[in-house]
Amino acid sequence: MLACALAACSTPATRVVLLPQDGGTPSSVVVRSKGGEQVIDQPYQRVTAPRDSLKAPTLDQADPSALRQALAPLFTLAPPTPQNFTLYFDLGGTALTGESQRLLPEVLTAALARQGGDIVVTGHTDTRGAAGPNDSLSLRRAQEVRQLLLGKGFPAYRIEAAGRGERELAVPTADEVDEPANRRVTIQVR
Amino acid sequence: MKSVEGEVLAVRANGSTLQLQPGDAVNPLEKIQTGPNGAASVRLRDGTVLVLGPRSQLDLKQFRFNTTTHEGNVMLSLLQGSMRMVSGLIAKKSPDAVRIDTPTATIGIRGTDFIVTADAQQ
Repeated sequence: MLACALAACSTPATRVVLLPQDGGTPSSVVVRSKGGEQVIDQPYQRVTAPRDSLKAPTLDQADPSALRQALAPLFTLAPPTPQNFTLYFDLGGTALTGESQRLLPEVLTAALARQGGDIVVTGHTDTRGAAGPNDSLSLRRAQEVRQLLLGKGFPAYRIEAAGRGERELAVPTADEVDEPANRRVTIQVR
Repeated sequence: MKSVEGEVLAVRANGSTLQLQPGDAVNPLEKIQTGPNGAASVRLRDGTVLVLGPRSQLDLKQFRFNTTTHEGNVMLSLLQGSMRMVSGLIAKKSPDAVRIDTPTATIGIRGTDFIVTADAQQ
């Protein structure tokens, strides 16, 4: 009797469950199937879309602890939150301030402590100068820091350098403003 | 690859397979396949996190990411099994550029952490 009921219930389906966001920012997922579409925007809402069904996907609420139990590896294997570091530069060039140079060993230790750890080095400029040259300058700053980390023995294929130019100012300013806090490289260890 | 438990294989386009280890790179056009005791987590270059449960098959159909502008796209296909996805910079810049297919449904996202499961074909 029970087996029969289970078999009847086990039509292959796709299920999607929304998880709470870090910091509680709103988020949502849209699920489309042959039968229609369903939006979920509350934590632990679940959409079920049975295979080959022409009915709209159905909506219910998943039980958080049952979910953690049934799909445990998806929770236990999630990598830890990335760690962020910020290094600063002297005006116009690719030389790190002395204080920032002293942070590098800490970055390396953090990256080596992580399983399969990798490093993304992202350069930024202030708004002095044109966008194009600032893209290049920001990339050169990132590459300079990448070289310093490689010199300390971190594997090359696990460090990426990127330049964001003046797109992500730490301190918002008008154009053509000399702002030391924007001349920086952010390092994400993840 | 961030972490690997049990059997986790990269399946190349030519059908050859390789057991993955933490720190290994996985390329677009490869499939990741986990065994009955297998599970793994992967971080894509834009920071997207994927965690695959046991008996799962994930096809990395397309991944493009411009590190300067943060433009790009991600197309994944979960053929069967379970996956958790925490979206990254591409989704932040352009949510429509991220899509996950299963044999039954298509999932679009809006900056999100979620789980998708796709039952095996009977």
